[in-house]
Amino acid sequence: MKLRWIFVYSLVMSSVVANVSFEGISQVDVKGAVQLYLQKQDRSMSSEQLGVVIDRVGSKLMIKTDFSSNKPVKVAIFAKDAFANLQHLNVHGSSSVYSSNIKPGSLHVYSDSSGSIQLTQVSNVARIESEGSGSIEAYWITSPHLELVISNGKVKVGGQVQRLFMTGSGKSKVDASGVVAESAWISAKDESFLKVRATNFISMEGSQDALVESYRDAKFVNEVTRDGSALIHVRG
Amino acid sequence: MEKLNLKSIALLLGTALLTACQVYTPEEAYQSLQPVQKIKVMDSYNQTLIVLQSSALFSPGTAQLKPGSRDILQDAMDVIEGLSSNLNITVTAYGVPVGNKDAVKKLSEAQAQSVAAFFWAKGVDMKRIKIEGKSYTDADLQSESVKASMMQYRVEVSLQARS
Repeated sequence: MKLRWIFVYSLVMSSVVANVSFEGISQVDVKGAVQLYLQKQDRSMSSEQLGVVIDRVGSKLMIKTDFSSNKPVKVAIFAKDAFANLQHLNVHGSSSVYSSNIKPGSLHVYSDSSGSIQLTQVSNVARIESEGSGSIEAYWITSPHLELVISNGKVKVGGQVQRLFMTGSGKSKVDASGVVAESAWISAKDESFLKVRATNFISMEGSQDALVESYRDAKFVNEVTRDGSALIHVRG
Repeated sequence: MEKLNLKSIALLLGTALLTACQVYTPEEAYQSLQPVQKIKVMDSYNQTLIVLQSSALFSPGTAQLKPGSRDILQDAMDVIEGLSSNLNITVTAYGVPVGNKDAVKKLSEAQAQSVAAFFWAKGVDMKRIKIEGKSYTDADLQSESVKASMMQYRVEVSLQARS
């Protein structure tokens, strides 16, 4: 991880700088084969390798690789406001996003990418939706509600929330055992595999071969399972 | 002798009558105590209220939905789907006046969550759903009727326009 950020700083010193403002951004769309780094800094700026296009329309920022680029292209964006207005982060293609210590208001993450997304020290994540084959990691979430809608890929989250809503389908794998939730509502189907840690209430609506592992004894359990689906209580 | 015969006939008749009156098996008697109307839908000018009998939904003392409760909840879901998707949904569970008030409230909250989670799993946006669990009041303790207590043990699903 440290090596990655060392690379980001070396990128700042050596590459092209886009003439775009990065404050007040509410949405970031990443397409193609971009490796995007988002971070807070005293001065808002970007630094990118050749072969990437950065456009801002209103409060939306679009970052994509141009046609000449076949290899992953690295882009670092620094915002003075720590992306305080960021609400939507959409990641497509084979792009990846790495972010540390940004302060979005209430962030919705969507990915159909085969790349990876890592959000560390990002607390206000409200929703993660994954349709791509890639992986998503997010720590430490302290939103009141967290919604995970995962139909593909691997997702791992950590933090503390009041209510956790998890929808798993396809062959998705979701490890939310790092999230201490007061209540967890789970809907799981197909071959999805989910891990959860709820203290007060857990409800599972399961079908087909979906499997949910519960890592803490919730006071109240409502388990409605059909076919080969199951809720397994694992002592954590 | 004649008196004895009359006594025997009376005894025989009495036994026959008592046997004829014994219509219910214990299981049938238990079933007869169960709520007949498991779901009730009421409309007023500003809300639609769906009342579900909790004894038909939950295993005793738990928030675990009974296998047979799916049909009842699906009926409620049909009502919800038939109305505007702009309506807010408040799920309120009421407990029976037995035991500690706080414990009853916590169980009621969990039961409200079980019902709400069913609706959510069927596609209702969680942002539309509010949950409440209610314990009993001192006035409820005055009721000596078992039937009245059973009426109290319910889940109300209220659909109202967003204020």
